[in-house]
Amino acid sequence: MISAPYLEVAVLVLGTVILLIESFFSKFDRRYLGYAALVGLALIFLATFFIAPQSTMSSAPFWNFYSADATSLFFKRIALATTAGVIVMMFDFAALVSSGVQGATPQSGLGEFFALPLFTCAGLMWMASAIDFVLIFVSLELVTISFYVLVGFTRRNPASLEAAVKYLVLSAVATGFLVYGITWIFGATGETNLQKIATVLSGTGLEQNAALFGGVLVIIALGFKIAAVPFHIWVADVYQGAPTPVTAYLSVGSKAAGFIVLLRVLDPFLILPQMQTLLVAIAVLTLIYGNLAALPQTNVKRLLAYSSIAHAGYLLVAVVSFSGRAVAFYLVAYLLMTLLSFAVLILVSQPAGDQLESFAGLSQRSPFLAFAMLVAMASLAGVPFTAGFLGKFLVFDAAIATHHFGLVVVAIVTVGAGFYYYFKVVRAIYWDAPPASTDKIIVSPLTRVALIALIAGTFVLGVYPQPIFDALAR
Amino acid sequence: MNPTTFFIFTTLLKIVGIVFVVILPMVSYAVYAERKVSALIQDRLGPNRVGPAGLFQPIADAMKFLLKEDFTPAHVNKFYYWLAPCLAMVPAITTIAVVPFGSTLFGVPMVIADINVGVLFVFAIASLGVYGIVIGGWASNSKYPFLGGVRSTSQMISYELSLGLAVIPIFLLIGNLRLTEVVQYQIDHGWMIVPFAGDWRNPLAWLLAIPMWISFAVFAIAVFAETNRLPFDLPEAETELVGGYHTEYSSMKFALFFLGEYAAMITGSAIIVTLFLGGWHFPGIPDGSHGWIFGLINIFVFFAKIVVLLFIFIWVRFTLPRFRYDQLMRLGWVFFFEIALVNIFCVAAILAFHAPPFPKHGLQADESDHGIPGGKMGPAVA
Amino acid sequence: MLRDYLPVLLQIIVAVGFAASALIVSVLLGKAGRRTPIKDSPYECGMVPIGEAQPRFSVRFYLIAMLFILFDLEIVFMYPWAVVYRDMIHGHPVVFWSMLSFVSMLMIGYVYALRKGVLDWRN
Repeated sequence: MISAPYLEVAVLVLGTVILLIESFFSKFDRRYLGYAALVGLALIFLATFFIAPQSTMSSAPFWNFYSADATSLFFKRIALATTAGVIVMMFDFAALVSSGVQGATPQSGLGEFFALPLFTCAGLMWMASAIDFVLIFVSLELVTISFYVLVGFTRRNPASLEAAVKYLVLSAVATGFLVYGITWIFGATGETNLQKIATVLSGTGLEQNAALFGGVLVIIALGFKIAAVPFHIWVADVYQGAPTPVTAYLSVGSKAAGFIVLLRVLDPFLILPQMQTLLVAIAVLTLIYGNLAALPQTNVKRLLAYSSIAHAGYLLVAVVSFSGRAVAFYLVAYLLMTLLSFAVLILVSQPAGDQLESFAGLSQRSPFLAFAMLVAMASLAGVPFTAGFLGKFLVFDAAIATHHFGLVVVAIVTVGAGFYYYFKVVRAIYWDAPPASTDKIIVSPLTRVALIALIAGTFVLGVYPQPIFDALAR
Repeated sequence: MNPTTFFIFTTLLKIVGIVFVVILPMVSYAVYAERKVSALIQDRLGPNRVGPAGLFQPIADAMKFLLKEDFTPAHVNKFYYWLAPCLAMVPAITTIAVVPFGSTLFGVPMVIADINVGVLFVFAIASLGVYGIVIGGWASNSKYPFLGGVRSTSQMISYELSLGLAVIPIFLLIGNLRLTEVVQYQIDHGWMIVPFAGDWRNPLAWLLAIPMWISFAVFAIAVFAETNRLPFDLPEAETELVGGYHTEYSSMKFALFFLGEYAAMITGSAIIVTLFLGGWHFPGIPDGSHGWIFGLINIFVFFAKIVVLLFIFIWVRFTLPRFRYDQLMRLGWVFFFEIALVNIFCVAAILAFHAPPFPKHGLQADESDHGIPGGKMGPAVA
Repeated sequence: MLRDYLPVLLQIIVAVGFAASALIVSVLLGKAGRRTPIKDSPYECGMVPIGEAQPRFSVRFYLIAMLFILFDLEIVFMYPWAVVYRDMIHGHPVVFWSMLSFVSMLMIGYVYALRKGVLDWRN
């Protein structure tokens, strides 16, 4: 049995070891570092199944900050799996990392490119366990700061730089909101621990408005992380400009972590009815904006960015209904289909770019990739027997159970819009004629395995979601 | 006279005494000494026309600075151009406020401000000195000052790390940041560079001497770098940067830069003396409570130690060649930084892993002393 | 507490006052000469100034500044630790090991930065 905090420590050690190997040895294939990261992450993922239950652990002050319950373990696994998926994508992206940098070899910068996601991963894992605002803040910073670097990693690409600057500035503003909100909450309740805040808030004779104000500020900051409208302005440009694996990571990892923090933070605050109203409003806006803005997109990366906003809307519906189970399942489904679509996007876009035209006739160039993209799009749209459908079903079910009928109506209408733009991609793949001079796309064995696993996952969870529920209910 | 009035009165007296009677003349004569000693080293005569053996030369210099044209070139950024010389000088003079320069005189403690964060105050204020240089270099709007300013900033912040790390062993040992306590500890248990004094049979105390010497060496050399003295005078390397950051300055503004540099030298020596060389203490000389004459002697001892250090400053300047910039950075960032860090853990280990704890200064047992004025060293009239 | 800092304030006032009065006296006493275009130009060893007055400089200065902020904070962390160290160390070796682990984590970053050539001024 392993004590839970060692998981993050292991990830960090893995990251630093890779970084040091990168800096001390110069003459070896940097891709081995990526393989090492993958193996390490797999081992740590396995280790999450042998975690000692929290009750047997000591009552040191550390556990006021850190929780090792089933939910946090579940989200740790999501973080680990996402990171592994992102690193697999990075192998395909490796050629582009240092293109355009003067005097760069094909290998330069790769070591850091593989190491940084590990630090992000450690941050995400801490975030999953954080039950105190201090740890939430620190882990959020670890995640965001590594993302600053990752987003601007292809530093000779102006789009990437623009994305990095935008992300840096807006993220710093969001962090400011978070810290300011935390101080207000601390001022009103005298606590940073979420459980204690809940106790204080449910008591009487409290300056509720101050706490509520702080809570709203925190929600604004988290709204930025999960890309909810109206805090979504950065999303399209940053997603489009960042290196594609990083975009995938941003849309899955950052979102998952944002949602678990949101769940934990809202736990004490949902007692206050105003909070509920605010969240419903944000959810409706996010649903409508994300789906409508995705309609006219012709750049697939941008389309996925807006679809990521839309999915944040569905997740917010689950949050408002306060169904942790629906959030968790939806996030897993979202992870599978998003990683799948971005992995295909990297392979397809490398010669031709991110535009929708480069997908034209993909079914003839690589039937396997075409099928993978079809599955991803179907799942994102919510076609039955895919994980995406079941995720949406659980969300709507939870919303109806808590009598949010208006929200469900909006959500179902926007799903219709979703079908339209996701099938634009499918139409390009299967109906449009390929450009004249194209050749087959080669898929490396590692990527092929990963893609098959993701496709299989999408279908299996679409009909048999029980493993997820079991993991949550431990 | 009520205690508060008395306190303010004595404080003002001490400030005026230290700044105008001791520091400023010392600065002037440090310049004179520098010229004389360099002449001695280089087998020249040095200044010898104004007064006997050129003794009035500093006064003549001061008059000249005052009477020269006060010129502000058109291309500079006026406000910051005027601000920079003040910024270069004020921190150097302010720092001396927390250094105990004597025991007591007529029952009044010979320290201007006996604050509980003494050393932090020293680092906080002394590091402001870099602003004077960087703003001066930037506001001059000219190439040489700009390059000098950039180099200087980089050098000063680099050596600030070693400076900060080198004193940590002392505070591990003493457990207090108050500089009067540091001196008191050295009176009771021997100067920092001879921690075995008074505890001759304890091998651990002898072992402790090694890291203390390392600390002393790192700190002293870092002070050289902080004050931009040779062999670390790259910010104003004449042969490549003309005058460095003060190329565009003249008259009194230039004099203030100069004054700031020498005042920083004196303050730096004062800190070295206080932290490592026993402050105003000298074996066999009692403190001021035994009569005012001893109080005066204590003050004299303190400044005599500073004068010795100043002589070493000058001696080094005319003996060693200048570093190359990469060597300078490598020395600060690699050698000093690492050795100072390792040193801290050596001291911590010596203090931790050996059974009989060193005698700790008695005052520490009294928790209430932290930060309360008028403790042991407080004004006697209270 | 505040009374401790009153002398510091006085000292600062005296220092600033001295600097200001020295400048003012010099302005009043100093002889004012004629302004000529040559006198107003930046000093470049007698040559006509060329190029920007504030040229681009090596990016390593920025790196040094960033590293400084990191490690200066580390040092500030060490001060309170050093002050309470002797009171707490006996019977609590964790006081030693926690600071050692904190510093060694930072040292990994330091070693990485050195290996990546932050202090390599040649190229």
